[in-house]
Amino acid sequence: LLAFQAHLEKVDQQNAFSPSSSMADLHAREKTPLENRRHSISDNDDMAFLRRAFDRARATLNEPRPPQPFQPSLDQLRLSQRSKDEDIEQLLRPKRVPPTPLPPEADAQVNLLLNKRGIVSKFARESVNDQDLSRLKPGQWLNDEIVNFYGAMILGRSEECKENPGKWCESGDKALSVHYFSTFFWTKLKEGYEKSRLAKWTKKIDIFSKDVILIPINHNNAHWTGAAINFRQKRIESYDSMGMRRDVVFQLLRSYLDSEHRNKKKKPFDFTGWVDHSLEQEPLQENGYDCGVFTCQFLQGLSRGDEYVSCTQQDMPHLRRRMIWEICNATLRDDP
Amino acid sequence: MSEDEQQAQTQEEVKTEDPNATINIKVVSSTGEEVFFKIKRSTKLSKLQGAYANKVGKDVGSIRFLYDGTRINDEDTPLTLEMEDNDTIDVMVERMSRPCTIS
Repeated sequence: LLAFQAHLEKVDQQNAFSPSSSMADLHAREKTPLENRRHSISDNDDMAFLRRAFDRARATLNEPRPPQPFQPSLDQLRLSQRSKDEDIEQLLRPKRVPPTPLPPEADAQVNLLLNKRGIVSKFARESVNDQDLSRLKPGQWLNDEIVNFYGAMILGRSEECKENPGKWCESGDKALSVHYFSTFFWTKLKEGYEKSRLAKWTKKIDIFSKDVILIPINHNNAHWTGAAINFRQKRIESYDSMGMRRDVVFQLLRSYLDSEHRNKKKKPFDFTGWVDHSLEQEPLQENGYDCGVFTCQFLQGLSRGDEYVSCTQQDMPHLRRRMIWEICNATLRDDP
Repeated sequence: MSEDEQQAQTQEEVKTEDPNATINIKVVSSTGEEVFFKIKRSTKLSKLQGAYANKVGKDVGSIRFLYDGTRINDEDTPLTLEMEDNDTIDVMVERMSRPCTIS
């Protein structure tokens, strides 16, 4: 190949294909120097050509390698499909945003708030004192006062959202209509709907007109989990940061729905299409004291229609500080 | 309804000046013990809460009083809560005094 290219180049230089030079003056052609008429490659031409060819070859070697032809393996195809699925999922649902630590000035405020004594905050019918608040310090388990205060704020925000859409909810339709049952609801439900007079708990509200009923559950004074009756999705939901499936939750909440429906609407509740639901990949606690924080955040997220719990164990320290800020300011923060 | 199971153990009168304006209230503990109070409709329920805590020998801060699921505040009276004669108040104990464990 190299020899052929060299030959072509030489022929080019001689204008061998030019008809004018060969036909107009045949004598001129006779006069061309002998060495140029040789068919073998001249030493001079060869050297120049070889240098060029060598340079070209070296340049080619220094260039980045051309990409391998794309022949995806099954695994690659599967991966790309999955990433496409995830993109679609992200488009369909709001992104899971991990909670961020408090901004520095709010964080500094928390230290001062922890020094307060007596009743430190009030919201609706709930109040929290310094003893309750100190349970939000790292490593402590939350009590019913903190959970119920947080629940009251969640309820307050949802009601606010319904009235003035904005902040949390882009449109009024999207804002969920929420009811929050206090931590005592579960205790009473376990004693029985009739015996506990639970029908009177809802004398001023119609739970069947709501989108979501939030229920914090205390298990034997030793563990907090969250539950919900989700009318929008027709689901009884349970979230446990210990990852346990709580059949008793599903069972009792179903019986509550039925009893309440019989009491208020005078007929059995229609469970067609209803399912028991636990989160598939629920974040888990890695210690023995953060269940209350996880539970509060689950209820908070659910009240905004989240399909997941966005916090993980590593968010707990700053989430605790955030909750102190939120409780003392009697308002839930807007930042993620 | 649980009005049937009246196992009155004690009867206590907090205020009885105006019989026409008083109502009977049953306070039921989490273990089912009942204490009866007769109070004026305009009396703050904080008085009843204090009297109850005294009676059962508990710190008022460690128990919570509920009327039909509504947490009773110190400023509440039977009037503000629209309570009726023979209504029941539930006493709940503080929850979560131990670390969370699998139960």
